[in-house]
Amino acid sequence: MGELLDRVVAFGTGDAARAGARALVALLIGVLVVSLLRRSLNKTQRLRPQHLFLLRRGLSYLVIIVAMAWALRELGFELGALLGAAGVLTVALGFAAQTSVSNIISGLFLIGEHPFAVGDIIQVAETTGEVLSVDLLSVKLRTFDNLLVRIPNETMLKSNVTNMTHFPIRRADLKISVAYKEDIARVREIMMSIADKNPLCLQEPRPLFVFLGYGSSALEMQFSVWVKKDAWLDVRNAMYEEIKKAFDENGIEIPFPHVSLYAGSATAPFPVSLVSPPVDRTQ
Amino acid sequence: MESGLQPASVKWWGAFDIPMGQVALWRIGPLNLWVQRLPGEWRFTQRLEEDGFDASVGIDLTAAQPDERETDAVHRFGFSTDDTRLVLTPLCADRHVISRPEKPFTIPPGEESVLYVGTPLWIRIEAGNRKTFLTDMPIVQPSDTWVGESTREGDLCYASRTRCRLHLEGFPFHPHRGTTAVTLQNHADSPLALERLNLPVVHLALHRKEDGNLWTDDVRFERTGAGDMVELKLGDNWKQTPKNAELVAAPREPVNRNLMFRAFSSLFN
Repeated sequence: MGELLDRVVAFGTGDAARAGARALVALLIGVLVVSLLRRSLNKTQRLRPQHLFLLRRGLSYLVIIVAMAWALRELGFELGALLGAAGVLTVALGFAAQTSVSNIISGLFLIGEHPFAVGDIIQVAETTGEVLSVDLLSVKLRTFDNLLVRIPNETMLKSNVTNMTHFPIRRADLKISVAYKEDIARVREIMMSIADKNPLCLQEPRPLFVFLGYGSSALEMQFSVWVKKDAWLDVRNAMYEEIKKAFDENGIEIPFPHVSLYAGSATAPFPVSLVSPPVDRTQ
Repeated sequence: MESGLQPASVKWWGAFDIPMGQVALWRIGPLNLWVQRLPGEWRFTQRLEEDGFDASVGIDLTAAQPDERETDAVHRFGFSTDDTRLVLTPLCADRHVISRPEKPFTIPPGEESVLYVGTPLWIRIEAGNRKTFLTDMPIVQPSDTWVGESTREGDLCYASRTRCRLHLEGFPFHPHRGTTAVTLQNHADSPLALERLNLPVVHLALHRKEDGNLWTDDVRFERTGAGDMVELKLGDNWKQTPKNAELVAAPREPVNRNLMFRAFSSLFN
């Protein structure tokens, strides 16, 4: 028992133990520095959240690597040999992790370019949703039917991304069709009056009226109003409802698709002849 | 006018006592506001008349319960104490107001004009002896509008149509609108074609003058540069309290001495 105790004391006061203690101190210092850095970065409000995230991660990894290198050096490891081995490992990992590295680099470009931020509504190909996070490898969206969509950063960088909430105001384009018999000027006046009465429709820029053309069943037109971005959906729906109501009150017809048949002359009735008496199918 | 309402010159704001179970009615222009004190709550019913420029004003502190319609806006505010005190304060709008003259108005170089412009007012309502904030609402919701060089950068404002009168004779004062005397000085070499006037009402105090009407601080704009989009710096004397006026409400926001904004503009040519 005494011999065991002597051995323990000898180990505890030996060079190996001292080296281990120094390595532990190095690691603890590293952890402390990372903690202090994170706290001070969390307080800053000058950086955007994505930049803050990147800086926090980058500095943390750097400090941890330095602390580990210091600890390994204290334990007597030759860093030169380790770096050589790490270099070979990096090449092997690089080949295996091409996609991940591409996503990380694409993420850095996205963060630097800042085409959208957390909370924006964006459309990428067929997917539309709210940006939940812009991470190192991917962007996460929440669709309007509450699905989580993960889009790799590389895909984001290569795709057309439409940010619907980047600017403070947006235009709502309404497609309106009226019957050929209607007076276009009167229709325009009614729609302008509806826009004027709706306080959410911006007075300026003024609403836009565009005559699109003579459709196959109706006169096609576009009526566009500007609104603040938060009110886009409400105003768009409200305008369609109010236009329909106003058209009904003013006797303006919204036709559904129809085809007119002519029997060779525009004024002659279409001839119909009864070949045999109708069959009574009720008996 | 409904029975119990006071004459049109009455001061509709201030502190009032509404006993439990009682209904009070405020008629402020086109707005009918019923306020009912109930156990544990204040209940507000708002109804707007069709005529947006109705100038009726009155208070009935013993009104009948309103026959609520579908189009009425009803708000209830929880209130734990038995205080029956209610304070109404008129305020200027919470954004800049863009006034467009009905007819084009030009100020030649070296000339000065004083225009009288009406802007929409808000009501702040507080309750109880501790003046607990209940709501800050427009009397009549004005239309949103945008002012800026493009649709990418600019500010959301309210739109107001005004005749920009030069004389007070026949000026249509309304209880739900504040009046501002705007002095425009054109020191530039080119005429100033006034298409839109951007009034920074968030920085203006509200007063009651001897005529019983609500006036904001008087405002002075000096145009020194040329061009369509003119930026003006608000100098030290850009606003002043009107004479013989009683302060009703302080400005919503303190003015930044370096505030520059486009007071006149011709947008989206």
